[in-house]
Amino acid sequence: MSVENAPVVDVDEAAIPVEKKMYYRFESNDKKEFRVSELAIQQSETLNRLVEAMGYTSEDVENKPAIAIENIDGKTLKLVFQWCEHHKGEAIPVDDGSVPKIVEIPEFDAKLMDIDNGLLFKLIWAADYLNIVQLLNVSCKKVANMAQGKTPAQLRRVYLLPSDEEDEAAKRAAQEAQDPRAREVEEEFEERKRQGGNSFF
Amino acid sequence: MTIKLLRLPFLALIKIVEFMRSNDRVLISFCSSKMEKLVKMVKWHIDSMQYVCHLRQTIIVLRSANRDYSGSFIIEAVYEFNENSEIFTDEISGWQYGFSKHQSIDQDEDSTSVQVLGETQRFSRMIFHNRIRNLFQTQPALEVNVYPNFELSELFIFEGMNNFRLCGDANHDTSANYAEAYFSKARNLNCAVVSTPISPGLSSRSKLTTAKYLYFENTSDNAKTLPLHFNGQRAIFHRCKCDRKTLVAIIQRWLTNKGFQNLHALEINSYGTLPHRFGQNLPEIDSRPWDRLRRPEVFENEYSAWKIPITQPSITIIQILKSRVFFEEKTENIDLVVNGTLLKFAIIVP
Repeated sequence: MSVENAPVVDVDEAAIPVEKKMYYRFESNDKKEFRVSELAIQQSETLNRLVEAMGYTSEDVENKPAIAIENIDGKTLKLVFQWCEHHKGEAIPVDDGSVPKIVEIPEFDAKLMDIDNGLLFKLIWAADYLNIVQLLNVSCKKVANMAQGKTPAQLRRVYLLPSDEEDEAAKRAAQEAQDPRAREVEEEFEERKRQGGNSFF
Repeated sequence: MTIKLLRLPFLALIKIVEFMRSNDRVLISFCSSKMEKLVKMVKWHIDSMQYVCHLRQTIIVLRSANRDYSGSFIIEAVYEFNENSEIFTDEISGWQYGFSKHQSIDQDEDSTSVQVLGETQRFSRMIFHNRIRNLFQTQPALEVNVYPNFELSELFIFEGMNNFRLCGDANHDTSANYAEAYFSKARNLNCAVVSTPISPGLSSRSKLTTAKYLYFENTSDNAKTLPLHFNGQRAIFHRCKCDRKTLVAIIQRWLTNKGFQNLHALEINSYGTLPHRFGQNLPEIDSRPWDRLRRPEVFENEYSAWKIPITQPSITIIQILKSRVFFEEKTENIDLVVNGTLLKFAIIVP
């Protein structure tokens, strides 16, 4: 996809003087390209360090290929950059764990996260990978709010939590998949038990 | 709407559990052993775990400075589980619980209703209590708050419950027998709070005198016995009917070291008319007007002080503090010399 056709994230033109604008180009794993302002990038510790290490100038941005983000798709990355642009310049929260975190979901974020849970799942992965602390906080808060007023069975359904038996079965299946002989040994053992044998060997 | 919680990155998983309300956290720990382990790893910001016993209900309140983290469970004993409740069986003990969202509009909307079967309630309550307690890395303070309308035979005291509160209305007296029976349920009474008036007066051997910390909001006639026989570290008695004889007895007991061996501070807030000039009106304790020259400041740590602020004609607060001396404005001081010990009274006049 060419840069002209790329889904450019809206930028508040008045907020940054024209001569100081610096944009970076990123490409998702499905080859969608995004132009994101330098200030917005600062919300992501991972991307911020990456562009610093690359030492890009404005010319490099235009002449060199877009920076590839291999494990995030275009739909998710668009949400991430929209969030970064909206919150650019805001302080990044520091969590020392000593006090309970108070996380409010602002109206913009609530609208942005008004998406299906599959996409929300990807958004959390992206926020974690790109180390965007506040986006991770609000998206996790949204998932935490899903638990409100639910009983254990409802929680299992909402969060697709396996029971202990299901966990055990999955573990056994995984072990058997690794070692097919183990299943044969177990079956033989069961058979001998049925026949009244005291010892396997 | 579903989401694969356990497929999320670990950091996100921890945050999600951390952002949940306390009762949601407890309930999600019931889903599987894996979830229980996860909940135990997350830091809880809970200050206290309170059992509030009112009428026939027991409410477990997990209280946090941040309301977002608080939560509560309303425990009810039933003969059979309600239709709309979800029956949960504890895998280890086999006891069953009926869970449902609490519907009452006058209660906290974040409450979860927990039904326990009447005949096995003692055990199922204990297991539920222990399951919650086991989730905390650092144990919050355990408190029990009882209203006088609660049947004490239905009160369950768990291990470590040493903080007792007797709630109630200032206009309705609670019987001394009820109060004594309630506080006697504590093995070691750490903190006791009484907000209801108690009549007739409690005896000098009341369990309340053994509390380490005692706060009595409507002391009334109990001021004649409780402050005198208090054997803990700190006590505050409000709205006392404290006469001069009782006051002298308290001071004498303290000065002669016949009581108050553990005392750090005692405060008596009285209705009574106490003598304004202690130096002249309490000859029994050999008090005399304060003289700063007689006691250089270098002796400051060698004597104890009583702080007596008189805030209005009908209210007097007496405070005993060991090893501390107050030099405040508007203070009228007097000296006490008892058995060679230098003591100081501070009377604060508004």
